[in-house]
Amino acid sequence: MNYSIALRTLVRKEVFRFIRIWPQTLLPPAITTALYFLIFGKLIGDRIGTINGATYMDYIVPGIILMSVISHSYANVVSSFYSTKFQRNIEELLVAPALSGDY
Amino acid sequence: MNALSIRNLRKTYNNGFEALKGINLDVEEGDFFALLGPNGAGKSTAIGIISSLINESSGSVSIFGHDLKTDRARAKSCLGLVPQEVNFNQFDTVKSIVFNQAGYYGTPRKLALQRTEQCLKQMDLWDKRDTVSRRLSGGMKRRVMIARAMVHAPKLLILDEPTAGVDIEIRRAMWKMMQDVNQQGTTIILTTHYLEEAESLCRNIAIIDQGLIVENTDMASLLARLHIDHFVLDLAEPIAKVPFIPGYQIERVADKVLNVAVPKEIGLNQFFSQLSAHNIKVISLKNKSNRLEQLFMDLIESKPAGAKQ
Repeated sequence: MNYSIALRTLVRKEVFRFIRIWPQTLLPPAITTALYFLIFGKLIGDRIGTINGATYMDYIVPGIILMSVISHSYANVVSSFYSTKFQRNIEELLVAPALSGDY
Repeated sequence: MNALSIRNLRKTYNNGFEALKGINLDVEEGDFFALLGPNGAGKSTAIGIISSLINESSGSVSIFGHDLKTDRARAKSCLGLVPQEVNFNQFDTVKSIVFNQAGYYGTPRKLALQRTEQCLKQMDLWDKRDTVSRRLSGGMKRRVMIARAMVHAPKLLILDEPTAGVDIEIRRAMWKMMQDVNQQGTTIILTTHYLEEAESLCRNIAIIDQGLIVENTDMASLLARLHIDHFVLDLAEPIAKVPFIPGYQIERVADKVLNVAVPKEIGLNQFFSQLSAHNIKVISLKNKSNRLEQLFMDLIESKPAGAKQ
């Protein structure tokens, strides 16, 4: 019985899942982020110009990247749990001594 | 030591339905135990509670002496569950399903890989290890669930209707596999609707009906209670009239087919000599219904609320 092995297994499984279905998990956020850069950064940013030497693009890049990372990290957890509950394979975890309340 | 010990287990669902009304059950280590009952009797609820999928309303469950409330991790690690319905990720490969389950039980990676290979080979699935599980046939999916349940080498294996909906060849292969696993020392609890299966595999039996255990005994003494055997006779020549033979209840089903109820204390010899005297020639003889099936129906019908807890 080792709680950390169960945790590692779960993390590895979720990362593999995330990578395996990259057209669903990595491609859409890349496209939406690129569109944000194009519309806000380029088209609107060009009209705003520079403020104290920084372009509007420089200003929005960190925020938009972080927004994408955070929102998709939530979305992936939700979709993974939803399918796990829907297919009932969450029972694989529930029957195993892998829950914090078990120790 | 008892592999499983259940004391006064009750479960009332939120809608007020009382699925278990205080059951007591002991399963000895190394046993092959049948848990039978009609649909909705409480079998799956009991198994759900034992495997921590359902919270009990009251009572206690201990697995190999580990109480499910106070020593949950150890109790859980002794148990392997094969559920009634397919519940693995349909998009995962066979190998990853079994390997990940070993990881959830805390099996180190190297040992988990060895055990995965061993279990898949035992279940005749090693060739399919890289196949995505949704592409497997129904029988293979069941075997994946058995391999998954055995990968952490549980001391108690619970199989909830493992042979439902599989063909006779696979069913017999699974019986053989269950017997092998049991002989290696694993305690098995089996629920099934095929009473022939329970009769040929299990040593002890409990019957649940309406949330109560109505019978809990060994198979031999349960079967010994059956006083009358029913047989179907195929005749060589059609008969117009049912012959009267004292002590036997005979019924004509078709021109060449007779049903006969044979009391065990009288036996068949006398019956056959009487048939010969009537000049009736019998081609073949078979049991009308499974013996356990008869007892099961008798118990369920005669004890709707009779509690033997």
